[in-house]
Amino acid sequence: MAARTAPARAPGTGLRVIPGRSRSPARLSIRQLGLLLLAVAMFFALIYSRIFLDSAAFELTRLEGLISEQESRFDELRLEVAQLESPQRIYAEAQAMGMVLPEEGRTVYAPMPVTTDEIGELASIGSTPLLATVGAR
Amino acid sequence: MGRRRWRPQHLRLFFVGAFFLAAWAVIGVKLVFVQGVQAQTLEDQALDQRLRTVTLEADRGTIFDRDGRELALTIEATTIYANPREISDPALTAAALSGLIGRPVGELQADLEKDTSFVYVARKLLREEADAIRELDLDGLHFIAEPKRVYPSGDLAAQVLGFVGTDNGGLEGVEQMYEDVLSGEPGQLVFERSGRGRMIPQGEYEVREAVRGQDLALTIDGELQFFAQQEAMATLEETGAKAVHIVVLDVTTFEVLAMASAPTFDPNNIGSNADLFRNRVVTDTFEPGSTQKLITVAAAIEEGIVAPETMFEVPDSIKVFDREYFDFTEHDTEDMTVADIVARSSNVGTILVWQELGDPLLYRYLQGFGLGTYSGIDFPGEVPGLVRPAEEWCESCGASTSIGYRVSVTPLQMTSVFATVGNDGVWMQPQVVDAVIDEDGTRASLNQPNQRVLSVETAEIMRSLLTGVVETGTGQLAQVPGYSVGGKTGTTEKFEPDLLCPGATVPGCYGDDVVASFIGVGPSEDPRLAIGVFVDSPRAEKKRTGGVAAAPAFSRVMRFALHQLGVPPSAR
Repeated sequence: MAARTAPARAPGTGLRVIPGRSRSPARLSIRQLGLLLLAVAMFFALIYSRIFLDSAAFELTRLEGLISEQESRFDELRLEVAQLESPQRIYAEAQAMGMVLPEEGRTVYAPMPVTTDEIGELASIGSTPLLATVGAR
Repeated sequence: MGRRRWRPQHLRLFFVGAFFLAAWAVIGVKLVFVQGVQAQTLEDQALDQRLRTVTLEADRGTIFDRDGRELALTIEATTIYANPREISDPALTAAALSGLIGRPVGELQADLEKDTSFVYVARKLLREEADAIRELDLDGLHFIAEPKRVYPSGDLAAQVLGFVGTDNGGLEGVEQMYEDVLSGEPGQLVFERSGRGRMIPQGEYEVREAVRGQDLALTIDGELQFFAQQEAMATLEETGAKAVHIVVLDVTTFEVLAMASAPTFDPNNIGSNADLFRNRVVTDTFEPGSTQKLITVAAAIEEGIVAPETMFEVPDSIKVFDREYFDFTEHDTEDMTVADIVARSSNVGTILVWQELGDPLLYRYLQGFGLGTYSGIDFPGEVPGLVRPAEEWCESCGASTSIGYRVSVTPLQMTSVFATVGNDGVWMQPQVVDAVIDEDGTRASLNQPNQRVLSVETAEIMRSLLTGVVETGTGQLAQVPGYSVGGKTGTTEKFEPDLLCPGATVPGCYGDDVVASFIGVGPSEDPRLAIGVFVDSPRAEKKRTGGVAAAPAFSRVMRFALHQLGVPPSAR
């Protein structure tokens, strides 16, 4: 093992220079800075996401309220339609308009041929009896 | 080394140290207890305080008539409650609310002054009504949504539909009978709330949706029901009766197209007369009287014992063991065919037919036509009526039964008898609910038992005999212009269970009141409808028989119904 020479001492002070151990101010490396920024960004992102979710929840509640209101409106319109269709209302309206149920109707019986020959016979003299148009019985 | 001596300051130090040590030990133990042993319990308690569970009421299914008209539906309403502890001036609040909710100021103020944190102010208000109160911005008022059952057509088919209670549970009619189907399944909402009671976003939130009830499609025809109700009311006023019931059955399906009773009620505002709530067409019985002669004669014809032209020598009265029976109108002994007996509604003639038929056969046909048993219609409170077994009959019981006494029937049962004749002799179970409708619109029809009671030939003969009653007999006021219809009149004395007969010691006697009825089918050549009109205790002079009190209403309802169904007039 080779002997090493001791560093020269400054005369009279008792101090000596130790090479390579000079002190310099601590500096963040780019990686550390990046990590720090990332952490900060994540922190804000987390807060933002919570705010976003909360505001979305409030918006959801508001929309649910609106849906409920519209459903309620729909129900009321349904009720209104059903009330308007009610026979009582229509009857009362009709009465107010002066309408009445028809009195005893009169049934008119048309002469009815019983065979196709008779239909043909009537047709030959230019007569088209009512029931000839719907068929012989 | 000498023994260490305790000086006073050391002693104080020791005690102070021991005290702190003990205190820390207690705190430590408590900490372990709270954080360890009680941790779960306390956590649950804390969560319980923050969690709120709300029952989500299921929407009740809608009830439709046969044309899809909504007869009963559920809407969202607003219920208002108050926390009296949050109200600074109850008198002022009561005065502001009174006019809007229709409650007396005094009553409302008394509620608002109660030492409680909850009182109902108004329940199930419509949106506009609730909004008007909301705009007042009064302290201590809270608004919650609640489903409300409404009947948009008022009293239309009220006794068929029934009604629901405050909690939306069915209490009468179809609402009660189909409670399980209509009510659905309630859901549940669990959420975390803040101290102010508001929902905490991102907190606990669990929802189990409510399952809406299924819908019901009734066989009732809304317009025909309305007309039948009008006629029931008109007949009630005209005859001064206690009640009038009208039943309309489709003879090919036994679907109830209308079932009306007068007086009636509005299910939106039921009032306090509970007697009006029940559907008396299926819950009340009466002795059918002459309308039951149809069964006696049909049984005798079906068994080949008599034919329409079979002649009987009919006196004015007949004695059967200890009882004497009379015809309604006095007459000399005369020859009558079976057709005449039916047309003139002869009690004596019918008893003569019964003497040929006998008790066991009469009893068998009464059963075959569904008397004395539940019809099976989907209705709460239906009664079976009463027909005692033939072996329990007394010696004159058969005679009484053959002319419609000693048995009790419901108006629906008796109308079904005539519908059976209209349906070529096949009895079917009457039904008022056509189908249960799923959420996806699938219709599930209900099972409908049936049984043949008469042959097609006998049914045709009976229809011609019934037509004779309307054309030349006691039911001429039942004629329908343009149509041939058949039917039978009935006038029965009412048995009063509490009335004491002269000289009797046991209560139970026939009183002055009668049930006047007319039941018939139309058109006679190809029946589509059976209609029964029952007038309970008519009081008006000369309007106390089935032919006068009930037949005119039958005519009008039959005519309207045939027009409604588009049935062409009968061929001449």
